[in-house]
Amino acid sequence: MKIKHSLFTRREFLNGLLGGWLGALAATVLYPVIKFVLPPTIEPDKVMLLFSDYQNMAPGAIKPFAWGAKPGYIKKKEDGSYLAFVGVCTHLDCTVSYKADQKKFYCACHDGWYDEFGKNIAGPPPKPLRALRADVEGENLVVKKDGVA
Amino acid sequence: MNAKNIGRSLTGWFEDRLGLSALMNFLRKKTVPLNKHTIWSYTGSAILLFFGIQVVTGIMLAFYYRPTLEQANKSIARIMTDVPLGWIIRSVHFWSASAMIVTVFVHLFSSWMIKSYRKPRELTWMTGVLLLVASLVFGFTGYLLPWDDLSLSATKVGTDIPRSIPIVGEWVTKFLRGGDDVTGDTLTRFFSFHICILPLFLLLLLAIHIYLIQKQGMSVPLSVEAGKEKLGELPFWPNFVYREIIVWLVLFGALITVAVFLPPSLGKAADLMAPAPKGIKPEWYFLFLFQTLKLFPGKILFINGDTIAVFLIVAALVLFFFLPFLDNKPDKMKGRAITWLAWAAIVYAVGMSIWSLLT
Amino acid sequence: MKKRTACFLLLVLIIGAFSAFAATIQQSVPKEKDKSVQAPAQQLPGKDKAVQVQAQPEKIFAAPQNIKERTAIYVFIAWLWAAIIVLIYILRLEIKEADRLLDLKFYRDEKK
Repeated sequence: MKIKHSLFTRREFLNGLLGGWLGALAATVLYPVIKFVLPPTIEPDKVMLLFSDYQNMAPGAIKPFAWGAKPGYIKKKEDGSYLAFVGVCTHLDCTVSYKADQKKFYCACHDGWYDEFGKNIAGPPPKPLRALRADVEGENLVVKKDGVA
Repeated sequence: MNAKNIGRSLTGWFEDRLGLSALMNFLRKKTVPLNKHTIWSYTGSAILLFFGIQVVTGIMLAFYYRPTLEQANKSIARIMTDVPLGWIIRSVHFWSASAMIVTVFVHLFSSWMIKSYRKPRELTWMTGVLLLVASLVFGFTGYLLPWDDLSLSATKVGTDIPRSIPIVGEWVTKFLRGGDDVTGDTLTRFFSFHICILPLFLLLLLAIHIYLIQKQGMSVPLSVEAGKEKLGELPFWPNFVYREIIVWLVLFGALITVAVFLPPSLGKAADLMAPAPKGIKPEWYFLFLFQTLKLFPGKILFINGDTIAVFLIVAALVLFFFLPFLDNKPDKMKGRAITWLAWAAIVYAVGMSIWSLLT
Repeated sequence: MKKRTACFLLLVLIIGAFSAFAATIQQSVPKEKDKSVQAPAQQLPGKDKAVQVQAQPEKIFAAPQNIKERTAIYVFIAWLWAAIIVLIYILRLEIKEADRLLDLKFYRDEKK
């Protein structure tokens, strides 16, 4: 189908080509810049702790540990097995504390409350605390993300 | 309501408030003289290109660099190994620094030889000399920042040189080092010079330099002025700018390619108590000065050899700064002698640098 | 035609030279970082298990770490130069047009 008038002039075409390819070059250069400026977050797949440090916990007790760059909590369940949480409030990322007398996690920033299993029970937090697996492997207490071998 | 109309009304909105079309009109009217020396007109903007790259890569490096004695070397090691593509960014910064200084020297010598500094462009020349000094100090301060053995020794030597200046020498060295010796304080001080003081200083000088060029127009070589050659002119926008972009693209591509295939390595962290390593040398652009200093004997007629050397170098720099006033008869014998002096200076600098590299 | 072939040959020469150089570049091979983290502070004295900071190597060389990165870099450089060459071609067309308008004195009337 032949159209009566051109969609653009030769000059516009040439200028468009120039702008387009300059844009392509800019994008090529911008890609490494953005990769540099936004580095990937380094969350470990697993953290190995010395079991001897957590062996003598009372059932129901909570002890802190370092989950990469974030705070974490180890919980010894009543049956002797271990559970771990990422101690970051699901509301706005503040570090939560544990109130042993009430057996609840508390976030001081906006009065958020979680029960002893990390489920959000009061205040603004929208989701429970992130749970991690904690297993004893020989001398170590290994905390892992769900799904990691 | 299509893209073209939106574009036009947007431009109109800004035009009513900023009046930037005056700038575009000026650029359209501005011309670049066409003659066998026009090729040198590309050197100025090439410096600007490399400086722009330095600013961008420098800011990116500053995101991860830690300017303390304990962390400096480690943070650069981290940039090179941990940060995604960090080694490329550091390599580009490294190579663009040398490229900028090479281009500054080319720009300097071409202006000297075609005598662009004749009246009324003396101030342009003088701000140019100060810009040269600023670029070299950029290189000197930046060289210390990796804090490895070589750069520590180079800085110790470099900051010791002003000491030979009588009366003020001690104070200058103390100011540069942040104390009597090169310490962690020197590093932090140099970092402050490198990313804050020098950029402001250079940008101020650059603004004056560029303003003067726009106000006075591009200089015309002597032979054209004398009427011997026909004057050709090229409009700055768009004819010259398109050609300039081609030059920029080629320079940029070459820089990135060299940076990607020849990245600089990092020596291990400097030990302040360790003896100087063998064969320390300053960066290549200081080699000719380094070699010149080596030539002077310890004492000449009861005066410290170093003091005389530093004096001669400072005297040469001052004469250099006032070159437009020395060259007041450019078309006569004196003018031609000064042009030959430029060639002599190039031969001297290159010769001394090669000599320094070989020993 | 002669100038064009000369430019092309120069380009091939430069690329060839750099490829040859790149193939011989020394590479540092840092240990494949295991994503597990040993808690360092809770070591009992006498136990030597911790993954301490590696003894600092004499020199650190910068280089792409694996074959994937190396290929990516070649692709990047190829793409960079392809874009630059296309842009230079387009710019030469633009320059031809701008010079043609200049000779025609197309803008002269505006200046008057």
